[in-house]
Amino acid sequence: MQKGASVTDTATGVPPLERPLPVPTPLQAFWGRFGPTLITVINLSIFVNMWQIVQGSSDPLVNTRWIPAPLDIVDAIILNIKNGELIKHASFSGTNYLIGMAIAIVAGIILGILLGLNPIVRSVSQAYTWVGFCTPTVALLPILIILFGLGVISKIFLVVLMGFFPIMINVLNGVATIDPVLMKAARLFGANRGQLFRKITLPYILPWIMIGIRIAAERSLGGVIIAEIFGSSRGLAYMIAQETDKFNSAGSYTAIAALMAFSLIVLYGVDRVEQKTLSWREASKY
Amino acid sequence: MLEVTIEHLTVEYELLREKEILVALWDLNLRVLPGEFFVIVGPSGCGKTTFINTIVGLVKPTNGRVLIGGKPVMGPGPDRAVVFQDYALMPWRTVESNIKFGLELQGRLKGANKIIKEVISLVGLNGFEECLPHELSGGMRQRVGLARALATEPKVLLLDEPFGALDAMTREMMQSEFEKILLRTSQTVIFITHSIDEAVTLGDRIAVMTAGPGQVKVILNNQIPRPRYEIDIRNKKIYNDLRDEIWQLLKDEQEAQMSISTFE
Repeated sequence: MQKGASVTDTATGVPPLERPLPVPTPLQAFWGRFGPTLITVINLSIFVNMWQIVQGSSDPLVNTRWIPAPLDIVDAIILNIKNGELIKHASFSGTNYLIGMAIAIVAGIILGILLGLNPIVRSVSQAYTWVGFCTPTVALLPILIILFGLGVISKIFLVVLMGFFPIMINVLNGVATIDPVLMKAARLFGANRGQLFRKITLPYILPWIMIGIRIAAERSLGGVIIAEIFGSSRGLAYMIAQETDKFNSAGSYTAIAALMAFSLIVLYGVDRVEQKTLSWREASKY
Repeated sequence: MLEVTIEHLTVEYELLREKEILVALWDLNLRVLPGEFFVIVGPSGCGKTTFINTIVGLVKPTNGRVLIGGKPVMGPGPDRAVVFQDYALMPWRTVESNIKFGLELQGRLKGANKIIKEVISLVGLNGFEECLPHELSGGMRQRVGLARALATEPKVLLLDEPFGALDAMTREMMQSEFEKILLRTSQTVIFITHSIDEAVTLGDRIAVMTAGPGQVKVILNNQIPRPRYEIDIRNKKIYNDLRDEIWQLLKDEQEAQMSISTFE
C-alpha cells in the first residue's frame, strides 16, 4: 500500500462500463421507426376529413367559391394534369426559378469569396452589399419591368436579386471566420495559395454556402410568384390569379398545391446536402 | 536527423497601435544536436511561439539566422513539421484524412497509405481511422496531430506546448506516451513547454529562457536515464534536484518580470 493514505473502502460489484441495450419488442421497433410519420399522417387525415365534412356538405360553413372541399381540389388537380395546364405553368415558373437560383448561387459564392478574401475590396463594397441586402427587392420589380419588359428576363432578374445577397453575405461571413490556426498549419506543410483555397477555404465555407442557399431558396420562390402576379401570361402564380378571377378557387388551390410541393422538394434537397456538410460544423462547437 | 543552429537571432515586431517596437527575441544563440530531444522551458511571454514561427519559416528574423542542417531557413519546408497546442486538425476530415493532409500538400501520395497505416499504429489510433476530430478526446486529437507531423517524415519535429490544453492526468499519460513514440522514430525534436515536469520528463537538454526579450538563460543537461516512462522518476532525487533548479531559475525570471511591470 502507498504511504500517507489508508484504504477505507473498495468498490465491489461494479457492472461493466458498457453493456448492450435490451432488444426492443417488434412493437417498440415499429413505433421507433414509423411512429413520427404515423402521427403526422393521422393528424393530417383528421384535419382533411373534417375539412371535407364541413365544406363538402350541402350547407358549407364558408362559401365554396373561397374555400372548396378537398375532394374538389383533387378533382381540379387531376383535370389540370390531364389537360396539360399544370405542367405548362409549373414548367414556366420552375425554369425561371432554377435559372435565377443558379445565377444567384454562382455569383453569390464567387463575390462572397472575393470580398471575404480581400479586405480592400470588402471595405470599398461594404456599403453597397448592405444597401443591397436591406433593400426590399420586390419594390424594384416595376423598375425591372420597365428595364427588361414583361418577358422572362425581368422575372429571372428578380429571382437573382432575391437570392444573391443572402448567399453572398453568408459566404463572406464564412470566409471571415476561417480559423487562422488551420491556415497556419496548412502553410507549414507547404501549401501554396491554390491549395490553401481548395483544402481549407472551400471546405470551411461549405456550411455557410448551404445556409445562404437555404435562405435564398425561400426568398427567390417569393420572387417568382410576385413577378408573375404583376405581369405575366404564364406560370403558377398567373394561374392562381386567373382561376381566382374566374371564381374557380379549386383551380387556384391546384396551383398553390403545386407551389407547396415545389417548395417542399427544394427544401428537402437543401436539407439533404446541408446535413452532409453541416455534420462536422454543428458538432465541432466543443 | 539534422542539426538546428540559431545564430544571433533577433525578432522584433512593430506594434502600430501602441507605436512601439516589441523585441520578442534578442541575440539568441543555440545549437540543437542531430537526433536530440531538446526542451525549451520559459515563463509566459518569453517569445516561445515567435521562436517556433521563426524556425519553421513563418516569421523572418530581424537579425541573425536559423540554419537547418547547415542551410539557412527561407520559408516552410518538408524537413520540418509542427505539432500545435490546439491541434489544428481539419474538423471536416476523418482521422486518416487529417494524417494524410501534410503528405497531400507536399504531393507525396505514392506510398502514402502505407506510411499512414504505420503512423496510425505507432501513435495508437487503430480503429479510429474514420472518426472526425470532434468525436475524439483531447489526448486522442493530439495523437492525430503527432501522427500528421510524423507522416511527413520530418528531420526536425517541433512541438509547441502540445499538452497545454489537456487535463493533468491525460497530460502525464501523454508525456510518457510521446516519449515512447519519439524514441522509436529518429528525428531532432524541439519541444516547447511552460511545464517544468514536462521538461524534466522529456528533455535530453533543457534550455531555460529569460522572461523577455527572449534569450537562453541557461542550458541544463538531463542525466536521468532513458527510457523514463518505465521508471517512477518522479520519486527519484535526481528528478527533484533538476526540477528545483529549473524552478529556481524560472522564479528569478518571473520576479524580474514582475518588478519591471510594477515600476511601469
